[in-house]
Amino acid sequence: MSALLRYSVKRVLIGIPVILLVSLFIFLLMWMLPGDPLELMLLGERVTPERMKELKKSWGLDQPVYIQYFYWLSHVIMGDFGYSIVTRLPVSQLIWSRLPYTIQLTFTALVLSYVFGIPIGVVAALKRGTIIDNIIIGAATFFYSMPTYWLGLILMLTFGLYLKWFPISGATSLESMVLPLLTLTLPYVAMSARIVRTEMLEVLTEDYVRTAWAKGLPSRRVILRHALRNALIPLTVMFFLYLPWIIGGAVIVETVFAWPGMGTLLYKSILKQDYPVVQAIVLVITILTVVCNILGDIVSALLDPRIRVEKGA
Amino acid sequence: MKSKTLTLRIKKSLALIKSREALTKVQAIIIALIIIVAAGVGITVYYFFLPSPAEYKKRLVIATALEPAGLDIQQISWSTVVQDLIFQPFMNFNESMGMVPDLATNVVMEGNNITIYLPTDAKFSNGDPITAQIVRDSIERYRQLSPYGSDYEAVIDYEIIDSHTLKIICKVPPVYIWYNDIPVVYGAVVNTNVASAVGDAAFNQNPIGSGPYKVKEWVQGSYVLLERNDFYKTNLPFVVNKGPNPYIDEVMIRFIPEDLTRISELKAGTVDIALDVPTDAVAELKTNPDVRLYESITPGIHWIMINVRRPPLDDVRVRRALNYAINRDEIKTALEDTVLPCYSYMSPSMLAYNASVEEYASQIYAYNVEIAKNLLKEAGWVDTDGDGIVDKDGQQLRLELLIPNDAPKFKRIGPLLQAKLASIGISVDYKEFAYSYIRAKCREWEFDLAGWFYSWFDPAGILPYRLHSTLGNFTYSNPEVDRLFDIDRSTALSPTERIALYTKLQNILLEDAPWVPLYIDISYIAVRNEVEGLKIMPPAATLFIQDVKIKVVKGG
Repeated sequence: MSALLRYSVKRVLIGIPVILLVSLFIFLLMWMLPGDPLELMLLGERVTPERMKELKKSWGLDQPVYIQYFYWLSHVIMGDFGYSIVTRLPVSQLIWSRLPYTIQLTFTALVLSYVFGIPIGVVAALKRGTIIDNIIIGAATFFYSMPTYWLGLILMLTFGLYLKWFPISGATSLESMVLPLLTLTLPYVAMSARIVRTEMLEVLTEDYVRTAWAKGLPSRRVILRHALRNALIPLTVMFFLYLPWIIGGAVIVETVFAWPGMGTLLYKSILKQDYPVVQAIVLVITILTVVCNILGDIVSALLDPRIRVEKGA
Repeated sequence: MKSKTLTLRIKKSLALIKSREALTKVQAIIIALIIIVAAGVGITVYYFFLPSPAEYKKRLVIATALEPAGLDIQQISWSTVVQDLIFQPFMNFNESMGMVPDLATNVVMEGNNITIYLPTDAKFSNGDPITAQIVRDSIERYRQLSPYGSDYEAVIDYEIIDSHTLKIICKVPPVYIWYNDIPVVYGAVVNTNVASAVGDAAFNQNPIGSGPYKVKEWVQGSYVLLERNDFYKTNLPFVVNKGPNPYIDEVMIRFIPEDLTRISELKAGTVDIALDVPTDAVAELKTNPDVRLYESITPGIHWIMINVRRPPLDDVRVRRALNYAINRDEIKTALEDTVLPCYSYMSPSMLAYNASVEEYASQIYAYNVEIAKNLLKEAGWVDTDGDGIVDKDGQQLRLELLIPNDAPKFKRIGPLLQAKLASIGISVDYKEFAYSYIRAKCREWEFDLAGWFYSWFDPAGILPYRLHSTLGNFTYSNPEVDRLFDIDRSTALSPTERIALYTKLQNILLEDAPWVPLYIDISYIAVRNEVEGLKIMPPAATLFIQDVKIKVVKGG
């Protein structure tokens, strides 16, 4: 365990410069983007060049880029993400107002993709080569390959506009979550099912599973306790790798369904060159990615002693 | 005597009920069935056949593509329908773009002063009285806070004549304020006492104005919910209901950026009014029996700005050649008739517009490739080597054309513009960028040709910021043009005099050709048929919902 701890501490220490480098990269990238946030904000301008200069100065946009970066970084370390250039609201307030919507949508989609994907994958593996397997694999390939934008529009037009079963867009009721959730979940159910199927097929040929069958254990016990338990290790690790995606949101789905989550906030902020908001969101995603990668490693080591031994060595 | 009769009648009724107990079960079932069937028939007839007293929806739902950056009109640079409903200008525009009183009972411009007469019972949506003092404070806050604060740079003092009459004293005739602030939502009064108490950031989330509705909830990225302002009063002559609309308790403004989603919501009936109708949806909505489509000519034009300082564009003949090379009718066709061809510098939805200038411009710059080629030839640009590109002193005529990729119509016609310029022998390096980038490049004079557009109804409030040598120096400079702009911004001209001034000014511009005017956009608002009493007014297609009722469609 101490080897695992040493390994984890090492990963955390490596993670800090990674986070700093990514933040610098994003800052420079935003700065290099063609355009000017003030010009974007003043599209309806009746503004003199002098007034433009005054506004630029008052918002600190006249400073050299490295000063802007260090000013921003020093505040972030103190927990202050600053203010949005566009809305003049605290960035943390903007993020907190959007985060619940995104978590509601993406976390539910992730959980549902596991809830449905695992049994479907197990069935496909157990019925390998049969028509059931072919149907599952066909459907999984279909939903996984389908562009999210197209799937979203088809679901919206079918169940929203023509059948009128669910609200077309917005986040005004629980029902309005159904279509965006379905759009997000279907491809991930497909992906989870495919992973589980592949892993199960591999595990089912392992010696210990054959031994379990030979010992005359009940099928349910062999499949659930011996085969599935080991087949789920990659999926469990993937869960942690998905967590940053949960925060980042699903830009396309949120845009199509006018869902007020982090994805649309990030998208709009990039379009409007709202540097503080983009930087804050990207930083949060970066930190989460680093942390979740470490967690993924730790969990996989805990679940699979072989990994622990290799890493400890 | 009366009580005895009553007792007798009750006894008789009881006896009758007891006798009914003798009914068989079959009879009871038949009676019950008859009652159920009758009730069913009754309900069906009631709902589907009989005329009934009208029922109205209490909530109006409007869908728009753009979410405002903030709600306080003094802290934003781009107003939306949300601000139109929260705030109330002192005056407003009627159908013929005449100025009529709105919040104020009257506003008078005399000499260097503007006097605002407020109703004695005018109140903000929180019930606070609107006084001359608070109007003064509101203007001062606007000067400090708004990107357009310089609108009031001519103001030198105020005189509070009485608690409901404010005189604004200026150093020159305040014509600029008169046209650009008094009749628009930017100039509306805000409750500065509340703003000071809660701070500007909080006020930007929940501002207090005197418009017909007030903020109830803002779920960012999703919607703004407004509720009726029960203190609302207006002097607008074109609305019947001068107070709070009794039919509409709430207005929900939903922000749906995706065009297809927004239009689908309208078609499904979950949205009553859809703004920002995309070009692709216009033809379909025109034939949709459930929807009315309002057309509105926008108060501005789309054009190509020319860097008049960079050779060979410093030669007026080359600039005129560009004007001849563009076929505006083809642009109109390419944009599915959702624009008007434009040859001059103003739109019919602007003040001081003169249709004869546009007519004259359309004649002198009618599409003509031969004239364009001859002008280039006069300027020394001829295709000597037969490669299709004109050249001079061994240099080919190559120009960079910057087109905004975030303006869908402009983007669509970009390749057409490139082809048209190629047809007169100009090699165009076509590039698409964000509009903000193009504007920034033009501000630094780093461009040849750039796609631009503006939207503002008063020429004095927008054209100088593009064509005046100090107010908005984008390479073009002409002292006579500057002088005419300065006259209009500081002299109280009559409407006829203003038309004459802008006619003269545009004639100079047509001679100098610093721009290639292209088209005037038509904006569309789609409204479901259930919505009654809606008024949409120029110049910016402002919605007036004071008389709106939304019928509930039975059986729908």
